[in-house]
Amino acid sequence: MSAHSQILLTSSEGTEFIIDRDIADKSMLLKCMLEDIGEIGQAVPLPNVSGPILTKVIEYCTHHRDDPNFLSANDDVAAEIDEWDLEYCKVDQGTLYELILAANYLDIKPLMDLTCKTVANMIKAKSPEEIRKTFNITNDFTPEEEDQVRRENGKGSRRLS
Amino acid sequence: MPAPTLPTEIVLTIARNLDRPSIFAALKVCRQWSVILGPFIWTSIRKMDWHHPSFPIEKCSISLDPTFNLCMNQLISLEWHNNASLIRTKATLYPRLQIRPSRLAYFLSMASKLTSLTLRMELHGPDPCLFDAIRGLSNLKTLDIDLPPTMNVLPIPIESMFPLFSRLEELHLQGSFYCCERDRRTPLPDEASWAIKSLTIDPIDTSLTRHCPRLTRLELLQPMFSMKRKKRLMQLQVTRLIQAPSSLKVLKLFSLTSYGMTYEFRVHHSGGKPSEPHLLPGQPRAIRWWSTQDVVALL
Repeated sequence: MSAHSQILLTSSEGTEFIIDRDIADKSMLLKCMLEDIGEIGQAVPLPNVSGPILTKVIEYCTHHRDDPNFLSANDDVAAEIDEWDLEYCKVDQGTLYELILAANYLDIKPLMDLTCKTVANMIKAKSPEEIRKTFNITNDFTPEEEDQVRRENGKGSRRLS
Repeated sequence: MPAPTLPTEIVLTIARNLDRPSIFAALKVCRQWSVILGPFIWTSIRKMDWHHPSFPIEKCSISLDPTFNLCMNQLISLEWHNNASLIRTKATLYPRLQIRPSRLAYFLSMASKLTSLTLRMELHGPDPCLFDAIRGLSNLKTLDIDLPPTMNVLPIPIESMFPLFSRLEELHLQGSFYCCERDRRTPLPDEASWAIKSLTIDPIDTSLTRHCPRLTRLELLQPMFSMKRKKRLMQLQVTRLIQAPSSLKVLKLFSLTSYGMTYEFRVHHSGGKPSEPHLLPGQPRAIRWWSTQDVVALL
């Protein structure tokens, strides 16, 4: 098994991507697959990942190619996101969601952590209504439930004054 | 684009990066998030959660709500305080804080996975339900109870807890507790033992240490003089003998010299030569050490 061997991937649209084996190994899904069945010289289909997203994922894995701490899971919630990663996550929300889903599917934990942390930062210090607006989420609570929440908030604000 | 519904594990991964107030806000965003994050909130309830206006405690009033039972099943750690001095500011004083001990007992009776419980509260009358509920928590590893003694509430014998918490490693008892052994009418059999590693108790109950063979940390609190009976006992036992197991590594004492008390400290089963430990300024000075070879730190 040469470290320089290359892997062929196809995205959901059928676009082909050729990447180095060590980049593919950043994805636990691909790593396990390649270890189990070996390199068969055929394209690995990734029906859940679109071309643009796969490009983005490969960009991430390429940047962190020689990162020795790549897999030593960084569970430190308070850890700062480094500059490159911060810049990398400056994408529209749809892309960010798809990146999360792709990272989850391909099992790339550091990318998953990074994107989830980015979403979390967008939620922090926002009211439920603001969160809904940010993520374009429909409020599907019944009016009664909403009313209860409003009444309780009303009580709270009266106490404040 | 409309928000795609994220899979549960992803919402949870996101939530792990959020602080508590943000999680409370996220609970109210939509039904899916509320269902996913509910149990997440309920694995650990901290002191300040009760004071947070968005803490979803309104569920507590629906005692038969099956989702609430599910929530309590997730509960691993619970902190409960109703001491008014613990409320940060007037602004956080929220009417929903008024949860009666009987309601708390009901929560606890469902929290079968609870391993850590902190209770700081004033009881205004006997509440057997609450203690029955606590006794039922067989998975407890950490128990921290502070019940200020009141006229209406009889002290609870510590021994009544012995057989119940086989996994207990940390015990902190303050207030209305007493060790029956102190009046020697109902001594514990010598072999009775707890797996406790860290013990914080009233000085008068130090005889309990004999029953904690794995004890590594012992803290003796400021003696409680608010009860007449206790006071008499304290005066009778001017000199306390602490019989600690040889596993003891850390000993923390409240200075008792001002109460005219002295400690004699004896490490169980160790025949070493007595040696004087290094006493820090402001620490109790009236300790006579019998053997301290195993005590490495005096905090």
